[in-house]
Amino acid sequence: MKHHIETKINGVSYHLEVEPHWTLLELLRRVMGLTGAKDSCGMGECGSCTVIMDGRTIYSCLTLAVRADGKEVLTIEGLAKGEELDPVQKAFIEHGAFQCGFCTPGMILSSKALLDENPSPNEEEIKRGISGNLCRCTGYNMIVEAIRGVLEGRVKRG
Amino acid sequence: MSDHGDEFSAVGKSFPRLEGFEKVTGATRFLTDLELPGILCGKVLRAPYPHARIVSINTKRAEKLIGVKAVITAEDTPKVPFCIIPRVANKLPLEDKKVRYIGDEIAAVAAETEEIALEALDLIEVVYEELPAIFEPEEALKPDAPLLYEETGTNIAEHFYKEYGDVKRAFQEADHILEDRFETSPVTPCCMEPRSCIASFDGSGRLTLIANTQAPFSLRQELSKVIPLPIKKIRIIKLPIGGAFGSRLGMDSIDPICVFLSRKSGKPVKIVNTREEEFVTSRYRYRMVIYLKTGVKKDGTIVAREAKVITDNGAHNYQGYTITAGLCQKLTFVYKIPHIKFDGYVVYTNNVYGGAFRGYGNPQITFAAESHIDMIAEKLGMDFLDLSLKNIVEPGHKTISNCQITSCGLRECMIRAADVTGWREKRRRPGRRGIGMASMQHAGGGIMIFFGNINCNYSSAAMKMNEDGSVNLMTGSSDIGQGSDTVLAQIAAEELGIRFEDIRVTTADTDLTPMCLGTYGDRVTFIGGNAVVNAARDVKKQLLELASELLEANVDDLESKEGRIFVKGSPEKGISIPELAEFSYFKKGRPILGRGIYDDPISKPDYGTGYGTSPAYSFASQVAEVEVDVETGKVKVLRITSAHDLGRALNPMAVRGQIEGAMAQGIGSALFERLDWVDGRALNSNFLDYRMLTALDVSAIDPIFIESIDPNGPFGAKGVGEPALVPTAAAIANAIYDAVGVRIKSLPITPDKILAALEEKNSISKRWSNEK
Repeated sequence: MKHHIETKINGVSYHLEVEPHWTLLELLRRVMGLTGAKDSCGMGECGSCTVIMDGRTIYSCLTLAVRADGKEVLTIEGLAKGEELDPVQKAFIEHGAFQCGFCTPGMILSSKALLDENPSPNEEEIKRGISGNLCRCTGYNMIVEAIRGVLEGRVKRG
Repeated sequence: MSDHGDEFSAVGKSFPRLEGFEKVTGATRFLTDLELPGILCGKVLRAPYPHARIVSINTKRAEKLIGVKAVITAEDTPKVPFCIIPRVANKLPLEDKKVRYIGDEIAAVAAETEEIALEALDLIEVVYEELPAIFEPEEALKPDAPLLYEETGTNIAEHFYKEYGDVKRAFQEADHILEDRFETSPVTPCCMEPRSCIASFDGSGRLTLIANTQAPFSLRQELSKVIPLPIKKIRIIKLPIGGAFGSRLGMDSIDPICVFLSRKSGKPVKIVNTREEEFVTSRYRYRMVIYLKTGVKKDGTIVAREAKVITDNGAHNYQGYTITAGLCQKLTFVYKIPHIKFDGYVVYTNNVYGGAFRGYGNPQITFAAESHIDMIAEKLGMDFLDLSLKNIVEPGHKTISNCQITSCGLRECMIRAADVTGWREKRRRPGRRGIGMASMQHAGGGIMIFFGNINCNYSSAAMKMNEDGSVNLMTGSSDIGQGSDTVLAQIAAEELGIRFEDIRVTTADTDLTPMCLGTYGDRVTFIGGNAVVNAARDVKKQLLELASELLEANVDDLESKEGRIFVKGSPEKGISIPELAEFSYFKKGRPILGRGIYDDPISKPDYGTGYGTSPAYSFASQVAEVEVDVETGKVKVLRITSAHDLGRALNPMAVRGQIEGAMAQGIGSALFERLDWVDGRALNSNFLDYRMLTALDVSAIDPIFIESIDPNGPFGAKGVGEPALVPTAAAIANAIYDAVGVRIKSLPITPDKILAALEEKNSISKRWSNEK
């Protein structure tokens, strides 16, 4: 039997009928056509499926779709305002913080949630903040630099 | 690390990725993101036993399940074996008589949903007769070992033997001889996007396969034989790909399986590996046992080297032979050693079959070879650096394996890496911290291979200038995340004298782009880049001819710069490239189309080595600094300084990305990564148990660029994708020895090995002092 949920995804309210066994990742990718969150391990180990729900990062592959009822979900598709990128997205481009780009949506959302929660993280806190997201291409250092770049940009702008 | 000044307008600059906006906004569509109308889900039934005869397969119940559109076994296929090296092909897309590893493909289904497909797999009844299996390559060589391919009478898949000089005599003349056994582990690429493919046929029976491939044109050839279909009936498309690292160079069984399912069901079919399938069936880095013998004079001159290598080929042939044979060439590099003997055995076992993974055998042999150099230095009481510098190859040197070195900045790499780290002060310092060095050589421009029956190292590019002066660059080269699209656009912009922003790149579609052998052997920048240079020159020639007509000046008197063509010395007498393009299209009625090819100008095929040579060689030296906890055996990598002779850094930021990323993989395979097989079953086939590095595990990386400006490279560049992980394990092993005096000769260097070695060392010294 399908469940009725009301959820806000990237700022838009939806009334959706979801199967009880659907994960949020399935809902996003199959029903909503939001393929930015990736399906890489399906077991909450790699972080490619990371989205932000009510301000906190979650593995959408381990979260049932019904859990989004009454919640606000932010996916990578909702981060930029049109052509205007979020500072984290800009920093990832400027610092070469991705290569193949498959883990990037999750990595960016984890970085954003980290900075929202802790406006001035130190090196260790940055690394911890993204340690739930695996990346095989970059070796992480350039991602850490991109996040530091966001912090420096904030300082510059005052 | 700094960008180049005014010498160039586009190369040498850290342009961000062409596809950056799409990748950071989630707009990039990877293969796994793609859906087509009516598409079916394909799933593969894999062998649960490492070695068994297939007695019978009954698919009737699966076929009857509602929603199932096709079920196939080997009987539905032409049973043509495939291998990236066709001569030794023995893997069937679906096995018919025997399974030889846990994961071997035996049947497949296409169904309306994933759930139905999985249920259908459960309904396929297979009767097996289990056979004795073998998992250790050295045991597989014993006379009573069970055979994987009974008809061959042996588990030796391939044997490669080569001797240069007179090794026996050279060892007699050596003052010291060291003999050791090294062992490496199976390391798997962990591409974040699972391997996947989508097959569909159009009304005329023409196939389109969208595939995770590094080499669409090679895949087209491989597929053509196995389906079979003529080349003209096949289109291969590579979309943005979530990692490859060598492991997606050749065809995988799921590619033809997907095609057979699509043909039988009459629908498009998509197969996506599960993460477990990735761990169980991916082409991983071959594990090897390396017996190394090195002879040296008292003064540190290395006179002879002998290696016996046993490669665990796994259950089927893939790249075991070329990777093993290639090690012989590697031994003739880095140092000028006049006498070399190589004996390589590629041995079948009932493990999954391996393949290329960043380094193509080089990480394995370099671990052994550079550990040995450290041991020799210790024995002679020499410093590692002095011993290395005494023996290294120089620019212009031709190796005894017939490889012509052009540019070579190896000496500078070593000296800079040592200087930056304070090598001499830190070496042999008391305490738990240690410092170690290792160097390497790698192909810097691909390798000569057989493509079909033709020996080549080839790429081609086409260019179309639009009426506004912007350019579409089309090349067969595959960007697999390393950023080659961006670098090739930089090369095109530089050569044409137009802006980087005015280039669009289309790659890796066999219908739309000219041919390229693929992305491997650090060849795209060098070979693909030179093809782009040649295509750009063709376009430029056409523009100059048009300008010559309009400006009434000789072509030789014209110059192209910053989007304009003008008379040398009088820049006011000129015309912009957009105006020229418009003139060409609308007044002359002539489209501006350029083409360029590039094939290795230096190398000659050397059938003796069984392995191709490269038109350029890249070099690197690495210094690792570690801290060892003697209570827990844990190694902390504090910093790795990596000096690279890369010819010229065409995009310093992208180059740094290659070095940083490779290094993380190098540290991983040195200290953590290993597929834990027990009786052919990987016990750690998930990201929790298979330890790839997280952000918390990485150390400081300090890349150094040594720009030797290669005479044949595009703007002097050589490849740099693979080198950074090649010497890492040896550098770390040497640093561990420097820290605590134990020599670990098997990878990965896990805490238990260090503790055991420390215990042994302590008990020996205790015994020794007791006896005294």
